[in-house]
Amino acid sequence: MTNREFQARVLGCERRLYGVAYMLLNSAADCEDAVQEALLRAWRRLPSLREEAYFETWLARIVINECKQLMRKRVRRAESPLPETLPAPPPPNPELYRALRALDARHRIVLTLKYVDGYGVAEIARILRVPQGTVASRLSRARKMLKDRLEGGDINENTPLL
Amino acid sequence: MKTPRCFNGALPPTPESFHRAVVRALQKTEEEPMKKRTVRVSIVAAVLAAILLVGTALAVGSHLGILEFLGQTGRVTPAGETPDIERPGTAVSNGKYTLTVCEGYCAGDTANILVEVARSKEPFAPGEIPFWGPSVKAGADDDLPCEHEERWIDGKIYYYFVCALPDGAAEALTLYIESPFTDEPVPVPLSKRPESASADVAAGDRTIDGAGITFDGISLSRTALDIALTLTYSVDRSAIRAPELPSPNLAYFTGGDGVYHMNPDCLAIVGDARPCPFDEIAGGMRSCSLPGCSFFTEPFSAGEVGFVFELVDAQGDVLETGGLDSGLLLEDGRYRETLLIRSEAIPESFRIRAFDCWTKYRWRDTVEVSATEIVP
Repeated sequence: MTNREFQARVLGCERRLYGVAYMLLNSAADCEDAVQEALLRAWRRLPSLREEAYFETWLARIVINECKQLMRKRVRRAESPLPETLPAPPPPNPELYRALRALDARHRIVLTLKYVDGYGVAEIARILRVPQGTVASRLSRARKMLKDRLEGGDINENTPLL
Repeated sequence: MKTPRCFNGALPPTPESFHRAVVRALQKTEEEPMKKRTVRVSIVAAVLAAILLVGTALAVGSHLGILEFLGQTGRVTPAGETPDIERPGTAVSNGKYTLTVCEGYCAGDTANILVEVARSKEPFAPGEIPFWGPSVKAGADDDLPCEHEERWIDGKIYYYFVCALPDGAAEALTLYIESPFTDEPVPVPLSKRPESASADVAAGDRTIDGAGITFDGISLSRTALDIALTLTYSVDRSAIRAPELPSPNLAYFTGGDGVYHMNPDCLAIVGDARPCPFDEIAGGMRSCSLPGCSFFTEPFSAGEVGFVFELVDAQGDVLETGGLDSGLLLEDGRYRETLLIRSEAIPESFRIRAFDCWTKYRWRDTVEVSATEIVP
């Protein structure tokens, strides 16, 4: 894959990468940091990608790893998220956003990948490197949790965005 | 708002600053060459230092006779159980956290590792299990495919990993635990699981009809926390049919294009044969529009992606099992699944039941297991 092809394919999935990173980091500034680092890492490691058909899931996995690294650093150094230079625009459906944010990251990420980003179960399994059955059962559990959150009425504008 | 019509509404629009950041990163890639994979010097140094430290500690410990003491105090076992499993006893602290490798052994083509994490300042609260927990690596940047369970016990967090070893892995293999709880990866030298700590068990009919599942091996073993039932099976996709039997967990009905599960608390549905009116949300996901109904449903589709196993004792009660969501996909195409049975005693016999995790309908449980008590 040439650099030009790499760039085109990255730009083609930019929105999805943002979705994944934002759901994990909850900060537009941190998303920029994580995705920039992930893109450089992906370019350097491109020879390790065996099948170009899996480029997008491979890249999403690198972005998730980079987000995890950032979260780990925050834990180690007790850091807060980076300050926003410009506040991120509010989501069109803030109640759903809050309900998703209130889930733990493991369940939030599978719902985001499937229903926000539109990946299939097999693709999510490749991204998260877990068996497909694990993805399916996590999705099942996550939907139940989301349902409970939304129907339980414990999500409102005062619910903290974790 | 109770019913999301579109999941995309959950996310804010992508800000222009994000696009500019992506473009800046892409511009940098034009100046930077692709690299071949290399092993990070810092990791090699850390590993060498760790091996040296562990070796020295072992030599000194052996000389002073303290290894036996460490081996005993490092155990976390249910009362009355004395599992015969070797423990590396590696404990690493960075001041804030102490990570202890309680178990590390290989059994066939999988590695089993149990890690305990304690916080120095205050115990972990129940449910306080961070997403960015440990991962198992075979070397620098080389994640192993692992299933893992996390559990909170008395203020500590336990991570139990079952990892698929690569083909031809050496018996004296060392893996590494990378986590936010230690500054450097922690080496885990694997030992071979003693034969007395596991037992193959007799299984009658080794298939689950309709699920396309054929069991190649069923064995029980003790871990420091539980009794583990390990199932090795293959799946014939062409033999998968829609499951037919209701499960006690949820109420069901069949209608339209598939089998749907219902919330038994939904008064509008229970006892009423009419299907629930559904609205399409996204990606085949639908919601019931009646108040109080199960929120999401998806039709059954034949695939090996959604099995969940249950164990049922002679009285028909479902045994409490924990943990690992589903099977590891092994390199030969088979699956290996570990169910952690949370019980002090192994029942004399039980049945293995499989159900579809989307519809919760189950297949006939035709596998009867007679358990052989493993040597304590």
